[in-house]
Amino acid sequence: MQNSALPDEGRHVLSRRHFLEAGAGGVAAAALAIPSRTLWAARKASDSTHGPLKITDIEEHEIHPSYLDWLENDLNHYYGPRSRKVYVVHTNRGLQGLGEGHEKSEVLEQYIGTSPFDWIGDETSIGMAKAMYDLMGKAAGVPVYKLFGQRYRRWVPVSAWTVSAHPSHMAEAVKRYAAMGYTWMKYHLSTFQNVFDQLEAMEQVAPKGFKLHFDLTRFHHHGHNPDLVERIARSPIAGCFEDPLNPSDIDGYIDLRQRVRLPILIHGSQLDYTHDVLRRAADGYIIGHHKVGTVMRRAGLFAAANVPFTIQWVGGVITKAMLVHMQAAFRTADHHIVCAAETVSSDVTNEQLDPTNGFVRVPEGPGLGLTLNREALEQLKRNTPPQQPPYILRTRFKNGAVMYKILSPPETRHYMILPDRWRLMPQSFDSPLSSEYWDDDGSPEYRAMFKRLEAEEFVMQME
Amino acid sequence: MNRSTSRRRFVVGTTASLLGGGAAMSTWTPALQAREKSDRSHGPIRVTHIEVHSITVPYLDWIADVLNHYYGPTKRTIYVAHTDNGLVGLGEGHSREKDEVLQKYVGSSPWDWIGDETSLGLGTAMYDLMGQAAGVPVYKLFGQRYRRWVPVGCWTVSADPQQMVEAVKQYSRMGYTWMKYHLSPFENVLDQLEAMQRVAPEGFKILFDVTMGGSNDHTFQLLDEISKFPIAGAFEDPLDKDIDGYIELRKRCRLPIVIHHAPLDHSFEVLRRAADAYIVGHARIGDAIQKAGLFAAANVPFMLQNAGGDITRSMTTHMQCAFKTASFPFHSDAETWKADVVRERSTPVNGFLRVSEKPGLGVTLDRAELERLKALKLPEQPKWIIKTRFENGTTMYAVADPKNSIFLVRPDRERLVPMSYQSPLTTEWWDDDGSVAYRNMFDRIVREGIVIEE
Repeated sequence: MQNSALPDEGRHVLSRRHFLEAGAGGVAAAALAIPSRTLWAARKASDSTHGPLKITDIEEHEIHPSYLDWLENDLNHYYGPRSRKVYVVHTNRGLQGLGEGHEKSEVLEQYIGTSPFDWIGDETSIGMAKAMYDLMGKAAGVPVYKLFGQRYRRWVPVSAWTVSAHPSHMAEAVKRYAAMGYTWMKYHLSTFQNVFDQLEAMEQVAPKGFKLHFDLTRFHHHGHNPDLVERIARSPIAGCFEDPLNPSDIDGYIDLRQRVRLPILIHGSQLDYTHDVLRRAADGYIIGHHKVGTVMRRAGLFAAANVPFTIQWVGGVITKAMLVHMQAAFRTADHHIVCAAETVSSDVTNEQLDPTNGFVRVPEGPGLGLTLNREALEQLKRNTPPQQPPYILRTRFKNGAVMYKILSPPETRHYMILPDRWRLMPQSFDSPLSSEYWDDDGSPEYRAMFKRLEAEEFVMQME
Repeated sequence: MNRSTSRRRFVVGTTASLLGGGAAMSTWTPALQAREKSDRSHGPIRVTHIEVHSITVPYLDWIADVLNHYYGPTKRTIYVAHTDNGLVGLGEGHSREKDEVLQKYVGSSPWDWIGDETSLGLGTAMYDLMGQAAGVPVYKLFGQRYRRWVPVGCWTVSADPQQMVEAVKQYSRMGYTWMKYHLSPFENVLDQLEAMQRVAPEGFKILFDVTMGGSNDHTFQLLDEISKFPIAGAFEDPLDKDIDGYIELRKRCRLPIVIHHAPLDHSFEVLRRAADAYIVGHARIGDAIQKAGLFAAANVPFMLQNAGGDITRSMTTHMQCAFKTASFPFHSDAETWKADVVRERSTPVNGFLRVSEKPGLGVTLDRAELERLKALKLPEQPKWIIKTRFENGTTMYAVADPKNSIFLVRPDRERLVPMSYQSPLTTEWWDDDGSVAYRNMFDRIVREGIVIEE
């Protein structure tokens, strides 16, 4: 096989054995090992131009982007402000590669002194792999997608993302994102809003062709998930469903696919995208935060099974660019990518990769096709977005029942999506209710309820 | 210690035991830790005697007439178990346990009854004692808490549409959001649904118990018609023993299919994914623990349906709080009675009961009320005539006997005439009014089994 011809079979280099050890996925993926041949050619091109490349230095910058104004209230109440690290990697030949993520310093050290080409099919760090591929592409004078193989698409579908919020906020998100060029929007359903109220509000403003990607987050809806999904699917703006069942319920997925008219996607694969794929449990798959080498193997299986998939890495424009390149080169990577780069007001690159009609054009410049904006980088390092103090989530049912719970982002960031982790009560996505964020307004009522919740954790009462 | 649960007991039996074993083994650990805690505090405790009281419980006024016509007055048995260190544990059951069963508990330690497989009523009292002795709520004897609020349903019987409307209005005011009833072919279910739909608050749902069929309806068509109503919530026992039929029905029906009377005792039908949820009815505590293990492994919701008052309801709430997938609303019928023997009457908020955090069950005996309900004498409900008029002018007469209440939901068992849950008919309940007409018709029905005439 072609990989055995590689002179360097160090532990970070994709080998035939690596391909075969991942079960059925590995078997089916073997045919897709061809991208390594592309990389080997790129490495030769690079070496002939620059001589052997070595990484000399990695700048690490922690940045604190602000959310878009219209999203800030909801995202802050879910997560509080978020930060991430940007990596600027330098080589002995003066090349500069861009990466981003949340890596520990000991991981970064593994890259110093190595060649970017040692990280073909990187299985160590997603954040640094972006920079390595950026450097490899620049060194070889080719866009990153060519390092993965032939191009399957020049434009890659991309989705916007938001959180479940009041129906009026969901309508606002649809309007805003549609104006920004998106045609897909993903959000996680939350039991603290009624999904049908949200749908009704969004349908009124969604342009024709705009679709929603509903993530049910493997949550066991206190009701009947198949029925819920079927009812949502009747909406003209419903697009697909992610993780509507427990991921271990392969037979349940098979049944659900047969009864629902829209695509069912599996993100949290319990079988690591192997036998569930072969059993046709889903219409498509989402690979979330898997390292580049793993994604390449999975892409081989999906191509063999002719199953669409997408890669979901959260990050900024650097991450978005890497996703676009990979999806351009993986045969069945047809589904829209989600990276949440569109939720922040600024980034560290001069290029923004905004979509047109829901698609991002794959950059054709060498590497990722991005250039660092030093001024923006320094500004985002100094930026101090508003913190979110603890607040009370107040949920009113139409029958007069009211629930209260203190939320303290980011510790409680999963509560809105997976409240069952708090073991309080079963909840539904279609209960007749709506929720509001009750921030400390200085009132005696707020103080009294807060104190009561500190003692009782959770209050439900008729009002 | 012949009553304590052994490893062997866990692994005998069905696949349910095998699958449930892993989950169930861990369930014993909290109870054994509680025993150690109790022994340190109290020393070994012994049950010294058990009071047994037969009580009569009055129905709520608005539902008394229909429940009396179905069942007559309800009687319950209350157990008050005493220990040598002065603890009092409460249990209850439908009929009194035999003396030889009661004697097994006297002289034993409550802790000998972890995972009780002998008596649900007395097992409840033993868990109450164990919790009080260890100073922990009963749910902690089963393991970690999975929910602080447990969904609870209310229950009624099939009656004319106006009575069903009254039930929805009354129960929703009482804090319920989920109501169960058995379909009866003496009423048209679609007429009932139309009436209930008009008054049901948004979010209120109905669990239809089809009592394993027995009508001449095509089950899928029937369920499909019912499913079109927004208040339709789920279907219980729409088929009888037909596991493959259940598997197909699940795929065709938009609403959850719930199996109560499991043909394979909640084992292989669960593994074959025959239902969306399960009801375990009147299972002894040890059996419920084992089943909970299987349901947790299969990630299938279930509920424990133990009919009883607030003692039973409290025990069920504790168990459902600690069993991982016990997220389906449970039924106990306690909501149909206007009096009980404990001071704490559980009332739901928005369809949920909060689990008590007090030691034991969290209920205390109201001795005065116990004595009152022991002395209470309610009139028996004599047989009556069920008079059904079809829209085409046909009238049908049959005798209803509260001692054979199943007739009203499964008349096919009397082998009289095939019936449908969707027939165009209305029914009235004809009590003995002393008239000659009543006496003549009654006698005729006794002779002929059923009377059908234009």
